[in-house]
Amino acid sequence: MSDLITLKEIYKNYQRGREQVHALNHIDLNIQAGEFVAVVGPSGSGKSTLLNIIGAMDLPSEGTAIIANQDITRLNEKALTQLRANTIGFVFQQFFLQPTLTARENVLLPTLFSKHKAVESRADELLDRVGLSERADHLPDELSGGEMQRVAIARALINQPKILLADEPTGNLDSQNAQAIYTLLDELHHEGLTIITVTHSTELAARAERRIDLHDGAIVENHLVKEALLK
Amino acid sequence: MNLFTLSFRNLQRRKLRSGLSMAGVAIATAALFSLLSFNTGFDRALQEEMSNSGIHMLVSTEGCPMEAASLALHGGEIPKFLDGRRLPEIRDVPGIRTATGMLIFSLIEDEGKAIYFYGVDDNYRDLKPHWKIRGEWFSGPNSIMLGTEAARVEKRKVGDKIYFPSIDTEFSVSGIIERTGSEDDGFFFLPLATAQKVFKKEGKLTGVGVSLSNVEEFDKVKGQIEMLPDVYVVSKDQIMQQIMSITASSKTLMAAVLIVALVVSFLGVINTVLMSVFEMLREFGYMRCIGASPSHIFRIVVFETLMLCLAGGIIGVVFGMMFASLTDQWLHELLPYAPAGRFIVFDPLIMLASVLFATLAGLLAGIIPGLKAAHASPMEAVRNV
Repeated sequence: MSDLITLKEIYKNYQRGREQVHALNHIDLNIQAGEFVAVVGPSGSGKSTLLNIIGAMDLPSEGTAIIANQDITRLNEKALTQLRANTIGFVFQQFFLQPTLTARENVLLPTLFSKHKAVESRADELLDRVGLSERADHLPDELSGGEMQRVAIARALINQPKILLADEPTGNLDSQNAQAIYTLLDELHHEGLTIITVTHSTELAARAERRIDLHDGAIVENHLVKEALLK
Repeated sequence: MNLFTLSFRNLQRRKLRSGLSMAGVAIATAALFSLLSFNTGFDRALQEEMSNSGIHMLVSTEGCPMEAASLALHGGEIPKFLDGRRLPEIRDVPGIRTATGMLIFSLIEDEGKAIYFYGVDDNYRDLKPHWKIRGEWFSGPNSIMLGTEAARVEKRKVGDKIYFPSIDTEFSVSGIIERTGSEDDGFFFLPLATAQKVFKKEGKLTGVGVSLSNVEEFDKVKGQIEMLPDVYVVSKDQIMQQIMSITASSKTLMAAVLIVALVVSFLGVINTVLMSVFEMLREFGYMRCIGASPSHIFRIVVFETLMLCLAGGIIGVVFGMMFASLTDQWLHELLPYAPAGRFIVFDPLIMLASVLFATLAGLLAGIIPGLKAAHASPMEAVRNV
């Protein structure tokens, strides 16, 4: 299998007041298409910074980051925008649903910015897929936290991305809703979607094929989890 | 769904703030619409009134043209009177079609209301061929003709008697002039000799209205009349120019107020949209995460201001039309000279220009907030989580 994501000697530094912060230190990482990867580590270890670089939202200070065959350090703003629109789906802890749009409209939102046409039937399929077909015309404030996150996942999938990035997707959910998200991510993974999640949840990390432990911006462990080894 | 939907929904999120900004734009547009209408309406009404007056020149005793303009069109008194002997002399000047003597006098009746009397001779009919009279022209020395408004206010009809205590005279209404849309509607017309008698101005005239057989001979006729003693000739164009110059300062003042209103509403729109942009920076950042380009974000914000200003513009024009009669009334009271008739009328071109201006202002007002929003970074969404 070919590598979908290749990070070579990645460093990320930024200034916080007078202090120079080394968020990532010499990261080398390859992720193949179809992998389910969990990035874990304590707060401030650089997990989200790593995810932002993989998502082409941020650029490394040094090193090479090749995402879906494109070196993001060499792309201009327009190309980065297109990469995010057409190749990557994002799910965040805060859901970021547009409060004035219905669930269906929120799912369709990324199509306004991509080469994909806004097709309502596709949005309805995805809402059905995440178990929210009955809630398609509801506004976000009429949905529970779990429902909002499922809408956010459906939205991340509307442009048929190659990579799904999830930053603490169950961080704001109770255990029952978190279970539903785990199951959904499992299903998407088994359908061949590449998923990279940053999480503090041991249960979610345990469901991943590969677990990457970060500490002080460096990878301290990068290994297949037990279930994957059994496969 | 499209970018317009997003912009529209964003406006709906802050109903009160959007509503207030829209109201500001509507007020400014209504003011713009009223001023544009007034500028064209005033000139048109003045032209109509001059044309309805039927005179090419007014001969009065020496004085300022402002007084001549005022008395010719608006009714009014001047302290000096023309010697009545000039009237036959003026009639003898070659090239004159009609010369009619006029004595204009006002009375202050109860409640401080001024009543304007126009003493006119039979030649006056030649200057007013468009008049339609219910009843008849003066039927005797004590007959009176009323303009439509005068008859309405006095509640008189043809054949009624009307008594004026201050001159202790009773008149019989011989005719009522149907609405002309000019100042004539409010005048009380008397036979010239009767007016001279009751106002104790025997042999005196306020002026002589002159209509020419051939307008091209204006200068020649004017020169000959001015050879008569104690006369002053004012042309129709001079009267118009005089009126326009005395209203110019009012127009300038109104334009200045309008500019202030436009600037304030323009800044209000920028402020409203800028505030909403600051509140939504994180949302815009998230939109950047999911593939929105700076141009998409810019358009969302500009569409928002466009909708705000377009709606405000349309509402402003509708309100401008709805309150046109009130504005007309106010302008008639405000201006030193205002011709009769409505200034603010349905003019699709002015309506379109006003809405277009508001829309253009919206486009400009959207640029600063739009650029601010377009620079929202995708990191904006995930920072400080």
